Amino acid sequence: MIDRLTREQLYSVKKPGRYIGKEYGGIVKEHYDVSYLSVYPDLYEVGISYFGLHIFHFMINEISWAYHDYAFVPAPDMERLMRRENIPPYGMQSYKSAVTFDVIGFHVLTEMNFTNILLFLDLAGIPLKTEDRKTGDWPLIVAGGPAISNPEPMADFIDIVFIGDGEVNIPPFLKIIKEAKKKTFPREWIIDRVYRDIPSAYIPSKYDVDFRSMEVIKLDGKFVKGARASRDEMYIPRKMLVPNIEGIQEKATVEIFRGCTRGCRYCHAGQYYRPVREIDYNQAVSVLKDIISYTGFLDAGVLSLSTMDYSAIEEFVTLLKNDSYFRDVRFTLPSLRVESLYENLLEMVDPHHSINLTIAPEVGSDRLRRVINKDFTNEHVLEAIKRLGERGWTKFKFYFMLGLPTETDDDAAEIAKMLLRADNILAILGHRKRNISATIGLFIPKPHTPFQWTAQISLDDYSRRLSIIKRMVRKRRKVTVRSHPSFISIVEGVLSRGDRRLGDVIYKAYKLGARLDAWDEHFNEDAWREAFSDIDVEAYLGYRGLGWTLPWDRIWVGMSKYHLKKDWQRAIRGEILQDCRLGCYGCGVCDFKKIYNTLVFEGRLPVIAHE
Amino acid sequence: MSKLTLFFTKEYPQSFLSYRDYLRHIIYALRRAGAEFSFSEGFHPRPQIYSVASLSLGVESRIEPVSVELRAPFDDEVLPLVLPVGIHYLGKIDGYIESYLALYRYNNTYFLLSHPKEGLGKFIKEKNIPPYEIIKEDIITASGSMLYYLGVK
Repeated sequence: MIDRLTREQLYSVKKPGRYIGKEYGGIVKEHYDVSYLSVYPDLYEVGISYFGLHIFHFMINEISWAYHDYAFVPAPDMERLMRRENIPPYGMQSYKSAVTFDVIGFHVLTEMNFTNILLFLDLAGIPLKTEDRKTGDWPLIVAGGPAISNPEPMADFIDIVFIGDGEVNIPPFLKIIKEAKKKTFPREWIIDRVYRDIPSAYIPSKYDVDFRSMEVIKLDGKFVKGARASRDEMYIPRKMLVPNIEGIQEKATVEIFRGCTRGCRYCHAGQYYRPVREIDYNQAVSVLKDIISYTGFLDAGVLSLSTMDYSAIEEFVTLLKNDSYFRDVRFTLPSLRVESLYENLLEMVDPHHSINLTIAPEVGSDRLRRVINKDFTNEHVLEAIKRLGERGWTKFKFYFMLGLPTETDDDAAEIAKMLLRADNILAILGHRKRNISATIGLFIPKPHTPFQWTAQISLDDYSRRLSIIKRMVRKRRKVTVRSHPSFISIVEGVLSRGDRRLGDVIYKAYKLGARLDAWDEHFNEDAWREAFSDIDVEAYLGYRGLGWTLPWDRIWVGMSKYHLKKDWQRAIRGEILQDCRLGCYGCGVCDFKKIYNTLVFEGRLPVIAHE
Repeated sequence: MSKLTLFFTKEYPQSFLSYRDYLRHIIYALRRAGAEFSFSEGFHPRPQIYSVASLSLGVESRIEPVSVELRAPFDDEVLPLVLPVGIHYLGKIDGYIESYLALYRYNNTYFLLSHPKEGLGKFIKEKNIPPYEIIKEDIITASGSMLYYLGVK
């Protein structure tokens, strides 16, 4: 156990509430055989808001012989203090130093947290590289989450990467550690046993890789398929931790379903979490009640990739509305799918309770929308805005992407045209206080998606297309476009589809001071530019050959590579691939025994715009 | 409708929570204990909770009055069991608390400040002393009653 931070120490850092620990609702245990430290490699406010951390904390602590604690990375001022006064990172509930845990598990939700993983290990006094941990009694360094479904860039640093759902991956892993500890077997025995027994565990050191330029010419080692929990295996916590200082999300949360089968081609989550597994709506309501009475939270919300696709959404919302238990609770609405805005639902959503409505047309032209496999049209979007406007909505947030395959400057101009038409519609309805704001992101090709072979747009092209849009909406006071080109997207692009040669680059960037890369104010562009001087950045951002072996090819996350390839060719032709709830195309994810699209109302299919 | 003033402590390390976060924890704890808050009117309804003065970051308090407006009578039996580490429940009185003088201790010297007129923040700045060495020991209401640990003394 480490000492609590002293008053002087706490007073010397910003937002000391980040480091106090002992969050209300958390669990401390005295006796256990195996200890697991979850690290969300970002600042407290972000990490404590990550729902997966709450799942892990309550799921693992239900096992009598296992203990779960959690930690985050410090802000730069706290990092300096920790280095100066030799304070190691510690579990927030137990105050045990990180290095004393059996496992340190990183939740990786974005590539921009890679350097934070090195920072955490470094502060804990743990050798950064797997090969340097072979001797000695170091904790096992594991990772999981969508952004490490291509673990190759982090191959030098992580012992084991778990692909897929933690509910399936973690319990057998903990059992292996328990056995090893009982028999005092070494670390290597655990790693070998995991490699042999857990089909969803990717162990980078077991693979032999060789390259010719960007092409992988040698890749030996076993295939790994992402683990999936069935609906009944999904862990739905009835408790949550109460953050010491307010998190970026702080609400009672129920995961009403996992997965999405819409098949948007740019979307990594759609691959990583498929198929759809919906929980019962009565259960969802009772879970929310339990969490609210356990925490006292004033807000509640649901977690899913596209809430309006929940087949029991009407029953669920009706139940919530008629239950007096929720009279003091404010529900926050996630972003809505345009094609799902049918009349019944519109009546249930009160414009005054969800002040901002996010609409994601993604692109400005119908042609390009078919390329990304979204089957609604501009007319659908504008019709929805008209209907929402008639019901009193005045503030709209739009989300678009630039840089998708086959995009031209004309497609960018179409984005501006849509914003202008939306503004016109609201003006005709007499909404003087209307507010249309658009965020225009830069598309980054992700591994395991049909767009994994495409090239990332250059910052110059992105800036040019952005300025086309900004110029066209310049004279409209009610329309704002917020976006700016940043080197961050270059870094993210390189790391997303990177290979193990990037290990040295990440290490170098970290040593040069790169950390908290997801934060504009902490992002260290010079460090990354310097580290990138050793590699061909253009090649990493460029096209990959359809016939090539890719660095992440030993991992099967969603659709099989065969199906991804077919879907990429469909994309080029502008063909729609239907939602698989309307008909299976055999992508290989489901086994139809345990894993398949599991809906509350089997007959209710998602709303499709073109029907 | 009932108006109450409840008394809590704010001890290290919770003394390093901002006062806003401190009140947030008290709202959550009261809700866990079954209190039904009245909510403010308007676009963004908030639970009705007031505090005469806030503490600077780092200052500890042995008695912090927090006034609330509740829709229904409140039984405080379980409240002590649902508080986070570093916050203790001392007791409650009916009605809102009047403005008061607060007795602070720094090292072994005591000083009185009236709230909210003479701010603690201003005092700390002028004397240039570390806030985490200050403890709010007691409060004295205008009617002269001393509320040390609510009747313990």
